[in-house]
Amino acid sequence: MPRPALAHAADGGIVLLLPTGYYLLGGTLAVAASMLVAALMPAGWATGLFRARTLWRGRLPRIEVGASLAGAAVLAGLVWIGFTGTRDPLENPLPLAVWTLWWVALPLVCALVGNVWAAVNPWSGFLTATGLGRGVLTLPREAGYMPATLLFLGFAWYELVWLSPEDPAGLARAVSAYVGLTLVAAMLFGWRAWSERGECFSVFFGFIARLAPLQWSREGETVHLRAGFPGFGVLHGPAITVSGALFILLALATVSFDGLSRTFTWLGLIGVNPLQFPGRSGVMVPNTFGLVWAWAVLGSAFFACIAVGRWLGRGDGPAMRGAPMAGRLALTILPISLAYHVAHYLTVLMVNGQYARAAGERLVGLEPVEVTTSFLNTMADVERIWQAQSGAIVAGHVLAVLLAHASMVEATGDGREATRRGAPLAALMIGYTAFGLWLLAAPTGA
Amino acid sequence: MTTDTDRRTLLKGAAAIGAVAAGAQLLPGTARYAQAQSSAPIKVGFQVHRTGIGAAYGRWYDRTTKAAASLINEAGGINGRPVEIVAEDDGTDPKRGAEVIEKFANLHECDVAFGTLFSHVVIGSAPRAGELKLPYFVVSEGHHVASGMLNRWTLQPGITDVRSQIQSMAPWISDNLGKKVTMVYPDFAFGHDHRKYFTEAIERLGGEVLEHIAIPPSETSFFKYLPKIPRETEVLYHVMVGPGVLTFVKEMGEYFGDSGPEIFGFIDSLEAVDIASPGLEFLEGSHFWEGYPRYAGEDQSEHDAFYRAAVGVDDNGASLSDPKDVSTYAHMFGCWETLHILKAGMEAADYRGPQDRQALIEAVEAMDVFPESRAHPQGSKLFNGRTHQAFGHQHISRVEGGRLVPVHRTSIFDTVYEDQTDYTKTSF
Repeated sequence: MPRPALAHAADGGIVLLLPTGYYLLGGTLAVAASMLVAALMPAGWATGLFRARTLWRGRLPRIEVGASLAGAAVLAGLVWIGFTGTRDPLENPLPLAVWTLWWVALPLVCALVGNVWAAVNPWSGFLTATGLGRGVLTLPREAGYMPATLLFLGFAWYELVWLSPEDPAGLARAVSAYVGLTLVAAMLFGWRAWSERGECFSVFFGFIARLAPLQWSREGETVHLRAGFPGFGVLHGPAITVSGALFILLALATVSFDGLSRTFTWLGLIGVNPLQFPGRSGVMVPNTFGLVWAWAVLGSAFFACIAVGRWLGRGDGPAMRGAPMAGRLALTILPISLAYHVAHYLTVLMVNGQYARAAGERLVGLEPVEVTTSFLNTMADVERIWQAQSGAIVAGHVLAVLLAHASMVEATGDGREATRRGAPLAALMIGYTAFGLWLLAAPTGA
Repeated sequence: MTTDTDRRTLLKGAAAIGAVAAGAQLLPGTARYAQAQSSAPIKVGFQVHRTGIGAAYGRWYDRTTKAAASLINEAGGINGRPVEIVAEDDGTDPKRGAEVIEKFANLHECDVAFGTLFSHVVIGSAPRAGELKLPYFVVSEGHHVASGMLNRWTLQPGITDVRSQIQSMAPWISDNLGKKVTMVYPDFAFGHDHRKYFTEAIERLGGEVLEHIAIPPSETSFFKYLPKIPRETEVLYHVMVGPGVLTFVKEMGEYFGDSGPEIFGFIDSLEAVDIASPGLEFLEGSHFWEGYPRYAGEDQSEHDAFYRAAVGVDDNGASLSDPKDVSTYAHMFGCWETLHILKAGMEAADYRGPQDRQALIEAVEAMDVFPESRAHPQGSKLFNGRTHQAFGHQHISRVEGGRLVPVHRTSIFDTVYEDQTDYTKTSF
């Protein structure tokens, strides 16, 4: 998504004056230290940290159908405004709702309170109420998460490479097309299968929600609410294999590439003057390749870590094979994905969040407050933003390292074996911390 | 405030640069024609950098445009019809810019297009505007309009161009700061324009540029270039842009300490940045070009006060709703002034609808002077109908106590150069 306010000297200029090198070193060392701590602590501590506790169990009225129908009504209204309202993407409620509230903010909500998207998505209510969501075909098992992965790649391309993802009418068309496609697919393959492996946002929000300290589940009429350390849901949820791992890697690669593609380094690589960015139309081809390349590089590094870990390991068994191990460890990358999301989109949320509020105020007839971006131009604010961003990156990686270790302990039943097998991925995570902090500190020109 | 004498001087100047004499269309009687034939709004397609690298400028262009449009509407609109601003985001992208122009003409049925700042977007959009015969009023500062590279349908009457800005700095610099100049600029077209036009101008005045130091655009540390500044340099002229600007200033400060040459820069480097920001202390005592002084000086005109209040900007050039939110004050007045020129042009042409677009262009081409007024708070301007470019006063300010204090206002005649084209001889 185009980020706000990048035309000025101070945007990205003030951060160049901050001692980011120290943060980079300190943050990377902190993640490395967390790896050492994980390796040295008794095996039971790691799994114990992520133990689930039942907080509450009882009956709750089924609100899912109503919530989803309400979600569909809101979306229909927004799409209508997208087609007919103002052409200004910072005033039209559709782009603000989609890009700022839904894509930037909703993952944070899901990471706090659980998978809200499962309730408010625009399809499940309609499909359940009409009985159209049972499906007439079986989504092949072999397809795994590939439908969701390819759709997510298309979404990421639309967001990061396409010329005008914020254009209200264009976005209204794109949303309509995706809603229609999902409906058809859900009627063919059934909502349950499609939402688990085809509807890429149900998959994405579902994964992110596994990080929440609260996990909801329903068995018949009974709802279970469990609580635990953030990320405990990763260890206690359903397993995934290679295609699921590819999805998680893609989600992380796309947000990483969005950061990378703005740096002087990337612009230099593709022969663009960083002080004279030509606009998206001038970088569409290299950035299309770049997006896929970032996924390929991250994926290769990840699977290489799995292979080396297997080579370093001593024991063997079904859980130790490559595919289940890849799925298991890919889930532990989720905190990094969330951390990048927070760090990368923080300023979008701060700026476009104001536009979203103003659009809401206009809808109800209030005079909106003028939007300000002064926090991007003052040293003290930029430093606070930088600290929040780098803090998120480091915290996300530390959590990922601990989670990966706990997950390996769970799989191997042995702390040392877990450390051996997990060491390559932990090293990758340490490297990715440095990369993430470098991205935030690097000069940008797009 | 412009007196009659000023007006006569300006008119003489207009004749001197060969502008077409005011035609009958500009007579006050016809200009006041406001018998509404239709109450349908005049649709102004506002091509705005809402996203992409120009977004920070776009935000203030938007505020200024809205303020000007409501002012015009409060006063009865144009020819008795209200003005409707139809904003479309160009993503600060030339291809998208051309698409937006097309939408204005075909989808939204706009009467004119208006508002673009970034040069590459103007250059990408203007050919399409020409093909669609849509009057395209840009607010870009680029020299591309007056250079003759665009077309009859593209005009820049509300903001001066970079060539005139640069050359008009030379007399004051040479008289007050020194004649031995070293230029530091980024090594691409933007910097090269400064190199060419300033070097020519200072040499005409008997000065010289001792060294041209071109910095590769990808550079983010500048220490290794600073020793290239000759010791006998009296004035260091810098036009760095991009995220490295603050580092450049900081490193200059560390390199020169309390000594060093006089420093002269363009506010483009620090537009919307608080000059009192930490790290910019070294700029104290240095000078900047400003298109329109950000800080209201002691001799602030009533027009400037009116304009600030209407846009919602305080005496420091920051938003009234957030005093830390510094505006793009040196540029955004161009939107305000251009909309007022559009009004004057439409009234002069008795504009009724798209069939009168050609008459609108001809009416604006026939204009020659825009006296300082509420419609032109930045100051009086001459308009050259042949090159479609306005010429106006430029300003030089000195950094004192973390504020920009205006110290000089150039004559308009310092900004004028020979015509490079005559669009009036090209067909519509």
